[in-house]
Amino acid sequence: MREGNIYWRERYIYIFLIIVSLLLLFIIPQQIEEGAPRALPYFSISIVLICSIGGLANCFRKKEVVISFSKSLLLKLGSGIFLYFLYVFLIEYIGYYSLSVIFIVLALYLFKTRNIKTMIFSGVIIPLMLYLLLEQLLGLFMPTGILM
Amino acid sequence: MDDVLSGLSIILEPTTILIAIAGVILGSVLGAIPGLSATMAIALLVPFTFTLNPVQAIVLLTAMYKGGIFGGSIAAILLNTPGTSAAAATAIDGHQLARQGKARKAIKMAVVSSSLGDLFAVIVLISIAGVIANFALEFGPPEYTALILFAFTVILGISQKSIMKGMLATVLGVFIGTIGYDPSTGVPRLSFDSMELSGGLELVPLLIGLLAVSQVFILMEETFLGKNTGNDIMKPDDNSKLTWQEFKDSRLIYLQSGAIGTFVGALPGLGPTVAAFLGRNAGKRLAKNPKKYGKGALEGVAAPEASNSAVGSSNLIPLISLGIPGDAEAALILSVLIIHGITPGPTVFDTDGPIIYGIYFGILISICVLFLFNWYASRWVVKVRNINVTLLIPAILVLCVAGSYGMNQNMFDVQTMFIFAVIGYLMIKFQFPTTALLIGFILGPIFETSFRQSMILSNNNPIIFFQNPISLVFIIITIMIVIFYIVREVKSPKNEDQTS
Repeated sequence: MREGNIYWRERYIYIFLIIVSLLLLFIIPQQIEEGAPRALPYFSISIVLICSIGGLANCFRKKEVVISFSKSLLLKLGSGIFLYFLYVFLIEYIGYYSLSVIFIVLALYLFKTRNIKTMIFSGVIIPLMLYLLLEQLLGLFMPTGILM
Repeated sequence: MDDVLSGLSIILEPTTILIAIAGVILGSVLGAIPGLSATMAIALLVPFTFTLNPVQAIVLLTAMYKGGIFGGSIAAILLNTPGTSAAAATAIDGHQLARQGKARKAIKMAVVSSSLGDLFAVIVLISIAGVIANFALEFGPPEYTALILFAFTVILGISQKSIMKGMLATVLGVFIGTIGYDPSTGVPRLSFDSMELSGGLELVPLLIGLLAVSQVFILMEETFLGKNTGNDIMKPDDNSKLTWQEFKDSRLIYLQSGAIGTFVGALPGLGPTVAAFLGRNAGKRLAKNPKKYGKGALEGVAAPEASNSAVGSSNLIPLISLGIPGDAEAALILSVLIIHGITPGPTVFDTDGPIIYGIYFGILISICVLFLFNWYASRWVVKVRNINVTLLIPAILVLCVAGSYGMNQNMFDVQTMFIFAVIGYLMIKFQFPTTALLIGFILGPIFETSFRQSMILSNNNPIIFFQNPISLVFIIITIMIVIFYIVREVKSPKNEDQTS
């Protein structure tokens, strides 16, 4: 175990799944009408619950995957995924192509690309090629939002 | 015979042939870039096949997959960095040959054995799929229920490390598949009064998230760790021609490994990596000089290549004849067929015979293109290793959004894709099989429908599954596999630890 590292243990996954499974077992009667439609959701989530309990028990038998991240890596990776999250959830408000330009430039910056020409070139060329492929060739119109 | 001729007329359109060529070239280039898997490449392509006819769509995917699997072998031979996991077995002898200045000889042997192994699998596919489909016409709901139960059990084997994880992923996929309208009564389930959820989750954003974006997140992590900084390309020796004698020396290996790959591919859940290692191990017994095996033997390249390439065609056997996808590639092809209104299974030869034969011919054309392109262009394909992966990551992520949005043109699908990308990333990190979740999601509704039909037929008496010999055989095999898994699980080694 390295000092200063952040550890993710497999048991957290199982604990999360146990909580969600129990929650769903309570929710199913409110969400699905009685009878046959409930059978498979009940059955499958029960198996998920049993497997999660089994998996958790295995973890305490010292059989678990432990992933460790250095703080700097977790920060960079988290930033990358968060940037993509923002991109995905803001597209409908801002517009696919204009937001893609911003996203690509920021992503390249995050990957330590400092060459301005490369950043601008990639940020413009990729959305432009996608525009030609999607809208001109395939007739698929992406969300426009306040921009394009 | 009419179906065969119709299929031939579909495939001989210049556009279809061009699509096959483009698919192989693009797949070979992408496969040679470590981190970009063949499955990820075709997952990205799925939404862009909507505008093509079904044959063109499937030919594009299979051509790209074959190219991708082979591209992985180029990187394995030259750099000892398998572009795909299926090429890991090729790297053992292939890279040794490259270090001895015989890189092009190794690549040419890989091209020959890949093409021949794949050809063997296609011949088996064409011969067997129709026969199995005819046999499966006898299947009623109980037989289908037992068959899918058997498929689920075999798929658990995807998770080589833990049966528990395989089962958890599969059942989670089945549960996610229950969201939306009930297949029999049409009542909404687990929709939480949401319009988007009432129709259920779409397959395309789910698979793009699970198979493509999750891999990009892994690639991002490796980039931050400095693992994708590129490598020095070993210059192949100019005097590396594959001789006729060397080709002839491995003739039994092509056949044996092709047969192994075909068998493994026809079983759900095993995939090209397992086939490659099995083929490689079996090839040692037929090698001229077994002591050289592992130290730069051409047979050590021929055996895994014939096996892993055969999987790319034989995995269509259960898909076309029974409607059961055995791996991620087959699941992607199934989704494209469904999108085009074709339901693979026992009746597909009656309803869409020309299309199926068109796909067969398309695969054959892809094999020819793969052989010709990689035989003559291997020295240039190698140069794709110089591509900076950091430039590709944002491009792929942007493309994934377009792909997810494309089918229904709603942002909910794009958000679904993102959620499943995060789930997929965590699954990969904690060694849960993402393919098992995907196949559970696809087969869950079919299983539910056939199970409920069986129950209606038998007045809720489960004895119906033991009265039919076919379903009884499947259930017995399923129980035997479960026992085998439990024994394996109990004996499995302890302690896993990863550090990033």
